[in-house]
Amino acid sequence: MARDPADVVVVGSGAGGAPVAYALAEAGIQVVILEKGRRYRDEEFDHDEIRMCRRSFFTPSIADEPHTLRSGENAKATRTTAGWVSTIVGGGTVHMAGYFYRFHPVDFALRSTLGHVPKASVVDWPIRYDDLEPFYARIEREIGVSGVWRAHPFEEPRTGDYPLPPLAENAVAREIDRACAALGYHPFPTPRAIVSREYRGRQPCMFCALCASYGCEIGAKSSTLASLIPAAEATGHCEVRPECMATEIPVDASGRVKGVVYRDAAGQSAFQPARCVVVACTAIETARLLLLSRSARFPNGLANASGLVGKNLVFSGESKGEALFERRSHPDTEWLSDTAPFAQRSMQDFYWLDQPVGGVRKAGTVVFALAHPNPILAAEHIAGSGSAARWGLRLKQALREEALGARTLTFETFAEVLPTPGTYVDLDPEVKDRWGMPVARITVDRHPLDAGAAGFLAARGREVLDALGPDASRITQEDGQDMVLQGGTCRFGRDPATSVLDVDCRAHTVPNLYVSDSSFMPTSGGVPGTLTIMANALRVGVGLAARFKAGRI
Amino acid sequence: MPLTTRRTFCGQVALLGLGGYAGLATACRSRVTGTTVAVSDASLPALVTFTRETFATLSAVCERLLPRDEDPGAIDLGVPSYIDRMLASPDLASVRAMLLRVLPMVDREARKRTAGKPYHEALADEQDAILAAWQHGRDGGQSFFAVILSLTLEGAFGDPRYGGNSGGRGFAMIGFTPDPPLSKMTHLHRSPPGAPGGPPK
Ligand SMILES: Cc1cc2nc3c(=O)[nH]c(=O)nc-3n(C[C@H](O)[C@H](O)[C@H](O)COP(=O)(O)OP(=O)(O)OC[C@H]3O[C@@H](n4cnc5c(N)ncnc54)[C@H](O)[C@@H]3O)c2cc1C
Ligand code: SF4
Repeated sequence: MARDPADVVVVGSGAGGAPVAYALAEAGIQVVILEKGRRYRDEEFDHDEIRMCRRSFFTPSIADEPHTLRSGENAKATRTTAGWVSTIVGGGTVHMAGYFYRFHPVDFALRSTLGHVPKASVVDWPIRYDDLEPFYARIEREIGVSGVWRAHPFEEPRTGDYPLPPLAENAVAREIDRACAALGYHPFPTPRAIVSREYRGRQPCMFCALCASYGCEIGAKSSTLASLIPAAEATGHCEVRPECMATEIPVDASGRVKGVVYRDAAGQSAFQPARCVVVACTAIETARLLLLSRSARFPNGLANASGLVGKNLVFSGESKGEALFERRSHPDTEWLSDTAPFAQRSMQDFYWLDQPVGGVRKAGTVVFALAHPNPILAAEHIAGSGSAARWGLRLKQALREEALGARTLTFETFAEVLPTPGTYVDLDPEVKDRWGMPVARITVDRHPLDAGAAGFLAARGREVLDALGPDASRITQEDGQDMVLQGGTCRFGRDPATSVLDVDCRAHTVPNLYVSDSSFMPTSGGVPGTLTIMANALRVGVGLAARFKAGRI
Repeated sequence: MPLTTRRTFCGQVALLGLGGYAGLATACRSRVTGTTVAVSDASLPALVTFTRETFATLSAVCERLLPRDEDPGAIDLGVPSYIDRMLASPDLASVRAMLLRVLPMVDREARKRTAGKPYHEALADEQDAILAAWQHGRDGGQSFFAVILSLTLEGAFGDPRYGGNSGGRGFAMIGFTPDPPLSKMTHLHRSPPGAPGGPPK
């Protein structure tokens, strides 16, 4: 079925898609958002661990739509659910934790700061922190971010305060402050995409036991579903079409995109013509969609004359640790009986290391949190796994001791992951999704320096936990990657030979095609990147609206 | 191996949503298949997946994994019926097939060891010895063991709406206070009733 042409089709309604749609709709430009996932009303979200966390609520099932993953080009790729973020109106912003840090100036200039790094494809961004600052400030206001300005010496330069005061914190925050002060570190309240006060008609956070991994049934979490999407719709210029999966972006004879072919909610193939298309499906799925869109003009995939679509995939480096505090050995420790859910402390003392440690100059961020209270997950964690799993009366005893008799404080770190030529997305040559389309194959080849950064941050996290006097502590993950934090598959840059997108995130080789999700990011940064994706997407949307107004689309 | 061990483990088991201790303060990364079904419903027949016989084996296995002591055990909490109903979900077809295949093997094993007694009538020590053999990897048993342990913990500590965790006594055992239904407490709505994203009219 053909439709009336839209000015712009945005594919994906998450962190990368919604800000563009909002900027365009606000400027009076007609936007259609095609979104593969369902649309839920707030009250349809609940805190049922089985439904939300242990089945395929947010992401496709491995039977319908897997990714495949291999460690290096010589390994066999196996089916996995890794690399999906969220398939729902609002994308990954719906059930995120909402740690909302900005990048630091150094993240924009890694090549010129580090110099040449052998075996890594490190580059500078074509824009600077200062270019993005106004968009950071504006997006924080549009969606509602809470935090404290000037809370630590390593803060990125800001031109103004957060729009909302910080979330209420558990008493453990003061303990972390004390421990860090003794170590000479500078913890600060974690900025969150959660509204701490009534904000633009949204109700403030009610401090549930369960938050991260769950949708918020009162709209206090600043997902695009709670903020930008209704704001875009309120202009009268934006239509969201849920359960519509883009399958191809065709081009005309002159090499301009004509619109988007999609499978609609009824499973029928449909076409939405448009003057301009913006793709924002996550770094992995955007690469897949472009690679699937082959034509005589672009035989290797849309906008892929350079062969770079899918290349230079990066994730965020991740290490984790935890410490157990038994009530009987800490009878006077106030936080052990404080039910406030958020520890609310982060540390960026090691974002940039003046003296390199083991070859590492740039590390990242440490965030502290109370262990996720998901009861089944907690019980599984206490039980352990494999041959070491505890069960029977031993397990019951352990459950009472560890779940009732103790509390666990955790840390998690976000470190730079260096892009390498061996880490990329392409189309799996064999595996197809339920509808017969090739799935995305993820190939990972880690840079040897990554382990240093993650390990260094893990040691700092554990040092702080140990300073709190726990009964036991351990690093649970030395050097992992967080595969929901993606980037890099359509780098932006000035040179069409080394990047897919130009500075405005418009394809170098297709004048009316944009990409606005994390794909544009050439390097991963030392924080989770969603605020940066959103700020950049707003920048892209504002630029595209201006181009429309000037009649240049 | 660059990717996290925990997720690698999940990949191998790849049957249930053995939720990794995942990042970003989150709690579910590797899930398995499909939507949840089987909210408890009085009109369901008593057993939907297992025969009486296999259900007896299942119940005894769950009870050994989480036995009654001063706190309720798996049977007190309704874990076996939870599993029976949950496995009716089409998304868990492969788990169902595996349990339907392995549980009778567990029972046969007991009959062999005890001169004819079914698993659920064997002595606790014998029951435990059989389970331990599966745990330590007999015939790919690690995956049976991991799955049955996970399902038992789901049934004990999951939302009571699915028929397990009866009376919320599993939550009480580990000191978890579930969140109240927040949407009922909302006093503001960002969209007017009936609008996309707003409350229903
Ligand atoms: C549990 C969890 C916790 C997280 N916590 C944090 C956090 O605390 N801080 C942080 O910074 N980040 C966090 N993240 C990461 C964050 O969600 C992502 O960085 C962000 O959402 C990525 O933005 P995106 O636009 O690339 O993708 P998304 O926001 O996922 O949006 C992509 C959208 O495109 C849709 N789509 C995909 N393919 C198609 C298609 N073919 N046709 C139509 N639509 C399509 C998807 O359904 C999806 O809605 C978390 C993620 C998860 C899963
Ligand atoms: S009310 Fe607050 S704690 Fe509860 S889900 Fe929403 S954002 Fe999370």
